[in-house]
Amino acid sequence: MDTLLSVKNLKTYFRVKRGVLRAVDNVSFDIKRGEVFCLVGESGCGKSITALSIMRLIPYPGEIVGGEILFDGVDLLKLPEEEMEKIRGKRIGMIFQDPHTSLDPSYTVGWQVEEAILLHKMIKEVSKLAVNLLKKVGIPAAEKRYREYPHQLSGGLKQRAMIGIAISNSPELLIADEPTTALDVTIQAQIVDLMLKLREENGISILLITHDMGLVAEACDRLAVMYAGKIVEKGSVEEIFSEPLHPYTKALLRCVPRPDKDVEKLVAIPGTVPEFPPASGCRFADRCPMARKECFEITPEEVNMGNGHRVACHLYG
Amino acid sequence: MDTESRATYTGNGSLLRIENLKMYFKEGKKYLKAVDGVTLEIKDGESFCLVGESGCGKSTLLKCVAGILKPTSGKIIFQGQDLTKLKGRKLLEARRKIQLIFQNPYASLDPRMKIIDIVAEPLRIQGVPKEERRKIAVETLREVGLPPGVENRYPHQLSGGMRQRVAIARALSVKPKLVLADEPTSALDVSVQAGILNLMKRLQGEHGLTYLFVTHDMGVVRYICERVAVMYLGKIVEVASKKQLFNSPLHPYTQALLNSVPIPDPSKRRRRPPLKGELPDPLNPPSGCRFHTRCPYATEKCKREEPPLLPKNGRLVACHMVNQG
Repeated sequence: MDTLLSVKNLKTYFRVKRGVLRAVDNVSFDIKRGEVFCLVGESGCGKSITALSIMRLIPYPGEIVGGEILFDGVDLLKLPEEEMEKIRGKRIGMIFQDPHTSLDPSYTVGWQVEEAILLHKMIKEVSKLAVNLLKKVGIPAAEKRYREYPHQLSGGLKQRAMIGIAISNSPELLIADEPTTALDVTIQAQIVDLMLKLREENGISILLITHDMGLVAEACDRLAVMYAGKIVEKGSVEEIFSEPLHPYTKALLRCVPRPDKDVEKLVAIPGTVPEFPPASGCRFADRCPMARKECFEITPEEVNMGNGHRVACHLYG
Repeated sequence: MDTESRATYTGNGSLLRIENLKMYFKEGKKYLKAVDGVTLEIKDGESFCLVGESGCGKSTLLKCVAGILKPTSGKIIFQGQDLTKLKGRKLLEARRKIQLIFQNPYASLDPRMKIIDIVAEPLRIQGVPKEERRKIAVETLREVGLPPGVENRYPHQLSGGMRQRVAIARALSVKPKLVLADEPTSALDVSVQAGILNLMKRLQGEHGLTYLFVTHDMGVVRYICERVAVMYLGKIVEVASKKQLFNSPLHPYTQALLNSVPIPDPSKRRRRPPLKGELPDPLNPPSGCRFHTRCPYATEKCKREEPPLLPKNGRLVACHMVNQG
């Protein structure tokens, strides 16, 4: 499998009153063609900002201050805005967490699917294409739903319609930012199956952003664990779940209540995520049970542990 | 007590008994039957979970028990007294014994009140003198693991996990018997959630609390509960012990729910297809068994007749197929 997207040393900072918030700081990862890649972490770890950086949709006062985002060999950060518009929504589609707010309430579902298609190519039989898309994403009675407004659809159907819009131009990459967090579990299972089916049939790559370790284990091939703006560990889903290396990954897996087995005691992670972490040192150091002196002083470099399993921790340096 | 009698429990150790509870809301000319004839019994000292997806009526049921909503009909018998009939001093005393923890600690704490006043407020309502209630509030804050000095701060100065600890301290301050918790950790990150769940477990042991827990997270159910009731569209479909429920769910909806939950272990990926269809419109619930529109085993009888909640293998199930077979 060749690489479709390569994010290299991405830095996205927010200049706020109290200083510079380094929301994404030196983040690198690759997504191969046809792969489901997961960015996982807790709120505020920078996973969504990473996704928005790829789309170049960073809101003020945020700014991409460094790095490269190579999409099919082209650095998206160097493209003029007109060129980027030809990629956004065409070669890279995106769906968001809350399907209730990401559709426009004043236009029909069909209109919104058509808009997404017509933005990138002028075709005559666009309505037929839109209905077919709604069918493809598993919306029952698609002809009827095509004429309806978002408020007439349930959350699950809205998210299906969003996926329809995102894939309307047959993108090579689909970015899904917490696509099922607002949905019930039975509906979540349907949406996950739909995304995996799209990967199967169209060879689409998926960047899945989530905080749910269950979803990661179920849907993705490889993942990166983020903490306070940095990737602390990345590798295949089998490797990381069977042999997590970074103390944060280990802690994260130990604090998830398991639906599949009885756990004697969950272990919480003491302390809180630093908002403005110190410029050097490991950002997890003050909450880490294994922290040593150097962890507070020197920023750990990524170490290759073999099989593409990489970890940024002094324990393995 | 063996597992069988535990699930269908109707002994004397009952703390709360809900009988044929109905909570209808008028929507135009129709009624939305949010809770439609629920009967449940909760033992003294147990941790009981109500699970179901959004709109199933689990939170509405909890609000009826808390006295926030006045039920359309039915009885809520707490320590032998029907809460729906209590007034005045007796109601105040019953309310002291039943406390509530809400889902979102960002919304459930008054932003203009200091932490100590938030925790002391239930004590003030119960008529505890000022000096004493401040003392109890500070003690309770320590007990839930908050550091000294937190008393004089405001909610916005605390993290989500700390705020939820304040909410727990507020519930605990008046020494309740029954604590109603409505998704108490679903607004929190997992690393913080673990701390809150552990705290709630510890407090249950130390204070002999009874929990009625509402959640949609099967992992949380498995960690904290002893018995579970599964709700679907205003009805209870299954009541079982935790072990029975997770090892051998009987109702097709319970099975589907457990099958849909992603397991944090890549070697246990879901193989069966997910449940088809959407939750029906609660204003026009399906006839017969309300789950028949999504049930893979539905028959003609399921469309016509509503299945009663009946004992089966030491638990309660409302399903024609299970109860016949």
